[in-house]
Amino acid sequence: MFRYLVRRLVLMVPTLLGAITLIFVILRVLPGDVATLMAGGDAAGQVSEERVAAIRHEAGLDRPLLVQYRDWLSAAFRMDFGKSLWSGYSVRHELGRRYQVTAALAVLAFLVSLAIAIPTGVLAALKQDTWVDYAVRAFAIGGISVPSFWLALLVLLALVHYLGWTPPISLSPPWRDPWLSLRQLGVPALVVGYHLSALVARMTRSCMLEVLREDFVRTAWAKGLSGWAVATRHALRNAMLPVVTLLGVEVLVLLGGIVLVETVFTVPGIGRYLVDSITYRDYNAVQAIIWVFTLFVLVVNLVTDLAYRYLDPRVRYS
Amino acid sequence: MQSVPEAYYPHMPGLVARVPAGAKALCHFARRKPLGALGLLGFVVLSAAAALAPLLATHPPDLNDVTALVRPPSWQHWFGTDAFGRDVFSRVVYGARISLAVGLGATALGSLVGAILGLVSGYAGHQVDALLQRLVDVLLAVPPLVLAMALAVALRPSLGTLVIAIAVPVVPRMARVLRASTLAALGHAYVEAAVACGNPPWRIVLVHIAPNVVSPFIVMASGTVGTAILAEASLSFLGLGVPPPAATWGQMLSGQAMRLFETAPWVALFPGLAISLAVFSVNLLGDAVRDVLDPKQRGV
Amino acid sequence: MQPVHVLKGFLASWLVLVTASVVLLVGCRATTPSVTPTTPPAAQPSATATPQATPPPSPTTVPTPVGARGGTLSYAIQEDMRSFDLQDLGTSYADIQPVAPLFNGLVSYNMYDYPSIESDLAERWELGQGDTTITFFLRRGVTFHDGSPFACRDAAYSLQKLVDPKRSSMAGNFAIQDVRCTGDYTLEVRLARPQAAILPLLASSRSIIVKEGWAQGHDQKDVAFAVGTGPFRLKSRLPGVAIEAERNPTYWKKGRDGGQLPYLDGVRTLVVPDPTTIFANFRTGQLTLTGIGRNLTKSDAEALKAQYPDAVVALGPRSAWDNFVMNVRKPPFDNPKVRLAVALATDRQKMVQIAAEGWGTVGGYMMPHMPFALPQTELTQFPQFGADMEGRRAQARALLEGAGYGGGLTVEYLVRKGEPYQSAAVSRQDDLKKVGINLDLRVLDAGTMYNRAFSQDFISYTLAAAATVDDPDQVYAFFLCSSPPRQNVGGYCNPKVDELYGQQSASFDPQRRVQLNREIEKLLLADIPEDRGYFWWSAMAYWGRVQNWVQVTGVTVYSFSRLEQVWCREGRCQ
Repeated sequence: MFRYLVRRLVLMVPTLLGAITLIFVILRVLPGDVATLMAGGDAAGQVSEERVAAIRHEAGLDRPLLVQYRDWLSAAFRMDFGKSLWSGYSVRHELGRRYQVTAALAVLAFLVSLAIAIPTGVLAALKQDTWVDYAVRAFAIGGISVPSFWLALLVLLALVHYLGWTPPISLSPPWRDPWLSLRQLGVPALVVGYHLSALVARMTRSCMLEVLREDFVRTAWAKGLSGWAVATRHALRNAMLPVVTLLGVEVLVLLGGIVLVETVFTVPGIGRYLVDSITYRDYNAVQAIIWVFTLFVLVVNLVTDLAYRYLDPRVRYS
Repeated sequence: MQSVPEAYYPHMPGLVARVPAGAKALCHFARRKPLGALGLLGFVVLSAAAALAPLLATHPPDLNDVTALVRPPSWQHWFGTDAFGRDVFSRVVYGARISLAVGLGATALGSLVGAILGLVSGYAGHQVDALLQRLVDVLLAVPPLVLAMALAVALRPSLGTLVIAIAVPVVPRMARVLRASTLAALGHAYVEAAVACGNPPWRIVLVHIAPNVVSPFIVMASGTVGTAILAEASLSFLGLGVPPPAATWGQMLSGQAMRLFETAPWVALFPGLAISLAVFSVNLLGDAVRDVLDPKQRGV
Repeated sequence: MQPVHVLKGFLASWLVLVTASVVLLVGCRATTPSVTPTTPPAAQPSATATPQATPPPSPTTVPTPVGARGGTLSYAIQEDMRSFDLQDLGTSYADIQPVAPLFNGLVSYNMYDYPSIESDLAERWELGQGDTTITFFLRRGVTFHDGSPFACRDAAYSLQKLVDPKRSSMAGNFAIQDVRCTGDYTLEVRLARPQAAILPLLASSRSIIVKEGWAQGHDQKDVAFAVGTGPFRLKSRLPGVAIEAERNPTYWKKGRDGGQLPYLDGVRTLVVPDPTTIFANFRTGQLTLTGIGRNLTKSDAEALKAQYPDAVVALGPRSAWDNFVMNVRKPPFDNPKVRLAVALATDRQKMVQIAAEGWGTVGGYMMPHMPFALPQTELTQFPQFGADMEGRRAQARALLEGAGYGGGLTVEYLVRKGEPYQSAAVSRQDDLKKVGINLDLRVLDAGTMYNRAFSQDFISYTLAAAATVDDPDQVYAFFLCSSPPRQNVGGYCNPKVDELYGQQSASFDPQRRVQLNREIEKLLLADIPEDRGYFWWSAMAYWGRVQNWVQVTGVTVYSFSRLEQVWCREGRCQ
């Protein structure tokens, strides 16, 4: 186990370096930079060349690419990304403040997705190839088929129209006022969770189908246990294992969904920070956010693999 | 539309033995996989709409008609008109062209590049494999939508760059799957034999390995089309899509459309439904294809 | 098909999913906007459904004498602010709106009697020595938010910064030569030449008074920079989320009821990029206003009218316009015939309908609400304002033929991302196509746009264009041979325009200034340095609880009397 962990960590180093380079390459070919954007504003044409040059200098955009790359490399490893070119605030500080909101949203959305996916997946498996199966699967696939930003806007408008209510806009850590956070994040989490549930539902269904054919389940049937008892006591527990392996894929879908839904619901998390920073051409922030997302994905992948190894002794990676 | 069943029946000897090709095969498919058949139907209908757009459209899709701004659905305008007085039905029909082209184009591009990388990686092994796999690892670690956003903003906005931006995240996923399939194929005795007989590499790859990786390729690609169509819509919503006045479904949902939703729901409702329907169809179809071709594979 | 049923049916189906979960999980309460039964809201004209040339007058023009204290006013801006120094380059409404209430100027616009100018930190002023010297007599007993007293040195420092091109984006507008203190509370400003626009320029929200030496010691992005004398002081800033300000308890100004200003406890500025979300939050009472001077569409207004009788819709002309900037240095727009063809082919009324839902005004080059603008009757003498669209198109085709573009031409057209730029651009593209000019539309973000515009790497574009001061000195500076290319982006040059511009700028005689400016406009209408589609209207909504709201007009987006006179009924704004 320990050797495996070390091996995995060593393998991560080139991936990390590659990710850092990839982010740098993509962002430095961006047309338009923060200096000219800041030179814009409503009263165009009242700006001098020197001011733009000064801003560019201040942001370090006038230095050779290699120097910029070296600085970015060290910034990425130290997790210190300097100041936002837009707001002037420390990007790390900003990420530190916002990640709590995004993490709370992600956890809520994940729970919602499990709450939708596992019952529907089990139900679909138990009623395989009946209309119940089809309906449940159609519902789940619907989740990944409806554009989540569109669904989010429809839900928002429905809330306004029928309840005269919108989630409160605030930036408060979830533990300071959990009730406020729940009101703020509950509806966005439902939208992201529904989007996410299709993957797990499909997986749960096929795993359940497989497990239901296993001998010990047949025995349980034979003992005269009811369908649901078999499902929950025997089959589901065994079927949960592969669900864990999906985590790596889910986290990618989850982050994508969060970016869109945070933007619609004005949730001040990292996803909206990314969209805003792209709009403002805030290199420092965009680099940092993609980097943080990438790190997060890699860590989740690692944990998933370790958990999988731990949970299922049959698996032996070479 | 017999091409899909035909494409995979050669690799399903059991099925081929039982079912003749053609209409009967479709009937059988529909009975075995009703949801898949539904998806196929939806996809065929939308593809036909895209192909026949000039015949189906009741109005030129970009025509501004000031005398009919934001009109509800009627006999003249089946899906109503938008804030430019453009016919929503005609734009949805024309939008099918671009949206499906982006979805299929990005899938094809990403899948092909990914497939080549996967084949090369699996076949060549050693340093080439190690290098390509690191590249794949890197691309896999960035969330696909975020990667597409970054690329879409870096490249100049146009139809072509949008296809590229959406295709890049497909590459590592396809490469990974095909590398595994290639390695599996290389393990077969007859491939080993072919290598031992001194066949040139291209022949081994094309004749012996390629047929073995067709199934995972189709499964993977069919599961990607829906994601690609959604990506187009999402990027348009974020303002990174095909520039106006192009009629794409994503473009039709961005800008003022959602703002009009309460007073003029048809403007955003129909393109949204079109996206949902298209993605829903290809996802159902993809699921069925996956079940038929590769009952064991899941969750990739 | 009944649209309402489509809506209800569709939303209802989602509600089965959502409502149940919301009520169970989130436990929200339905909050209906409160309606106060006793007194009806102050004069509130409703949004008119029919398009018209000029917007209806704005509500509440005279401050109501007695105001209730308390309440926090919240409103939205669509992009985050970037600097607390309003003279910093590229600051927009998003910076001015949250920051302006923290400061004062020497003088300011009276937004209850626009465009008159009233005293602010300068109690009064005198013009002397051939109209080239102004003496400002400053207010005593004013303190900054940090407790330090305000004196002439602060004002002198602020003005020196204001006219220094290295430290101020406004510098080019001013003809100020020298500033000095002749006493602790007397400021003497010397002009290089007589400048009629000096007071409007000083009344601009960007011309704020900061502490002496303040800009050297502090980063403009730092909250510590935001120390002014204004009615509100900064409480907190969360980048990308919110800016909060609270009442300045020692504000120097008294209300008409003799009480201490301001009435409000605080002001909360929320950053909400999506207009749909802004409007949703306004309707549920989370926002007191949709936005200061902007952020309302006609369909929004109709929805309010139908469902929320307590909401007030305020409309007014705005000093901003749609433009089609042509690069007159390069073909094809170096040819005046082609430019005229563009102007002839552009259906302005249609554009107003499409891009502004009818909420816009067709005009020449000066904002039509200004006295300097050509009267409508003179404007319609110019061919590009003729009523016969078919005739105009025929004429445009003939002109293009004559210019050698009989077979049509394709032109790259850069458009700033977002509304209303894109809508106007699509309308324009549709118009020009009819005469054989194909616009190859490229939607770009503002940053890329400025990059290409300022490096003259464009053929045509549409970008934000607005005046922060309703004065020809600013509006016509876009068309001078002597203006730097960053200002005169299209490269148009007519020495006659420059000459007239100099004369009008120096003229303190209002009548003569109007005459000269109308001459300029006629020259521009003949030369067509750029084509203007229409002039925007401001449109906003606020709840009836809000009293003493300013006139929504001209530059309200930038100037709104710092909210010092605004109050909310019963001291509650939500």
